[in-house]
Amino acid sequence: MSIGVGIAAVLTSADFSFPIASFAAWFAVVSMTLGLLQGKGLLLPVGIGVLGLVATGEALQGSIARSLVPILGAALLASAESGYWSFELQQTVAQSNSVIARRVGVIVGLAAVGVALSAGAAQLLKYLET
Amino acid sequence: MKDFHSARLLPYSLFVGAAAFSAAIIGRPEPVLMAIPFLVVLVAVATVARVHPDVNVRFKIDRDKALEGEVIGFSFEVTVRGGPFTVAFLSNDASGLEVICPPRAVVVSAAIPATLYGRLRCQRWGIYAFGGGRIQARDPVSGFVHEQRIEPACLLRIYPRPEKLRSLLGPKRLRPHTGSLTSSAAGAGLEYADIREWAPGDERRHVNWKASARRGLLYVNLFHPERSSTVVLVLDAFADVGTEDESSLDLAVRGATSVAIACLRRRDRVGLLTVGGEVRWLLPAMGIRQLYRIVNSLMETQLALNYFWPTVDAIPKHVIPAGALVVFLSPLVDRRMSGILADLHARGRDVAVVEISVDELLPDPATERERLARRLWSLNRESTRYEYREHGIPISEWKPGSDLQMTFGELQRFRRTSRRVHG
Repeated sequence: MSIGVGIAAVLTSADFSFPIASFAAWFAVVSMTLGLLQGKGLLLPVGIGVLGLVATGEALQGSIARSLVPILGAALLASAESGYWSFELQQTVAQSNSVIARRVGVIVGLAAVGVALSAGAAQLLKYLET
Repeated sequence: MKDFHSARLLPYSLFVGAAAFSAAIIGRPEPVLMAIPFLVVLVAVATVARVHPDVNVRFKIDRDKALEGEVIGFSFEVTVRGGPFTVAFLSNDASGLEVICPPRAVVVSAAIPATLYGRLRCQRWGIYAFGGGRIQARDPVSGFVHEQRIEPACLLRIYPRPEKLRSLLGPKRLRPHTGSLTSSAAGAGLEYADIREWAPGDERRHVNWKASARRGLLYVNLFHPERSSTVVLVLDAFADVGTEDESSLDLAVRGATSVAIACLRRRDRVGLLTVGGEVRWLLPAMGIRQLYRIVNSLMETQLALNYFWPTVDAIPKHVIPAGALVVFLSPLVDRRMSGILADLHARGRDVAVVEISVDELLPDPATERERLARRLWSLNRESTRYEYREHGIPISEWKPGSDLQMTFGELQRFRRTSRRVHG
């Protein structure tokens, strides 16, 4: 949840091209919060999707540097993975410390690989453009 | 074995697809760059999804017999072939058992067994099949869940927790066998009864020297011998009033267990007669084996709704021996039980009734008509009690949560009083 708030804060602090972007970003945070409280349903993916849409729109408009996009994407992924993990925890039994540590490691690992690949792709595109 | 995928795979796929589509339409790479981390997850899930776990489970429980309210530990030893998986056990719900500490999910590596520990509280007496449920194995990315159903592995017997009983109802007649009840007759025993003049054959150690010196003749002490009795518990399985948590049959079983334990402790012979859908009995006997027989038989007691109208003639004569104290445990809701009780009393049996109070077990009446019906019913029950007392049958109510000892004290008091009144 805090990651989602962080993304929304980054988006609202940027120089907005769309006046509605700030509203949409915080709507996404509210939607994610409600989705987490509900423990299932569409509110969480809708929130993630809207946040991703706003971030992409801002990147396209140039309000956010292209180099920040991979980090925002990984942060979105970490937020979504944590949210779905909380769904799983609500539907099944408690997890031991080793399972929690492993899951955190998997999320961090996936986000890191995602950032690396995305940043690599961005660098490659930059190189090809020049 | 049932497999299902994580709920997040569809939104992630849509997100990646929408990003790729929009990037192609607008000719800019940003949407794809944003979606690459999500694509990484989908690729990772597709990679690990090919591994299918082969889960083997061995169930263990600390013991298969317990008392109500006790906590028992159990465990599952899990081995998985096919790679490391996160394994969780989801227990089946059983109404009389509460899993207070469910086993936590653990990581099980290939060929290295892991153990899942849990604890359960035995809430209600009965025989339960436990150990069944579902085992869920998740891959490291939690993309797919492989679920396996497990059949119950053990029969758990939960015995009713007995009430504390310090003293019981004294029977009118005792058996000529050693026990813990003081007989009113004189003979060899421990409790002093009287003195009388010495007669040939009297033992020298029974001579009361002080009395002999005072009166100038030899006097000997007399004692009350300690004898045992026969107690037959009669359980009413015609009706069960109450909720799933607590009902009149629950209380009757708990009360019967308590009385059986107390009677066997004072070396009485105890028998059991269950009258309901069928007439079942255990002949009176002594000892710990008889206690287990009685408790196991009580736990199999179930309510059976039928129109069978048994009379005393349906009960074999040797089930209730002559001189036995017959203790009825009944809510006195069904008239068939009242008929048997009256018949036994009319035939000169020593009968006492522990009435399981059902007023506390029923929900409060909601409407005026229900209130009136409840009042009429209460009056009817009160008149039945009065009738029994008039006939010299001791009857006392046992309310849920109250002390059973008080009920037996009241029965004993009634017996003393009624003897005085009726000679």
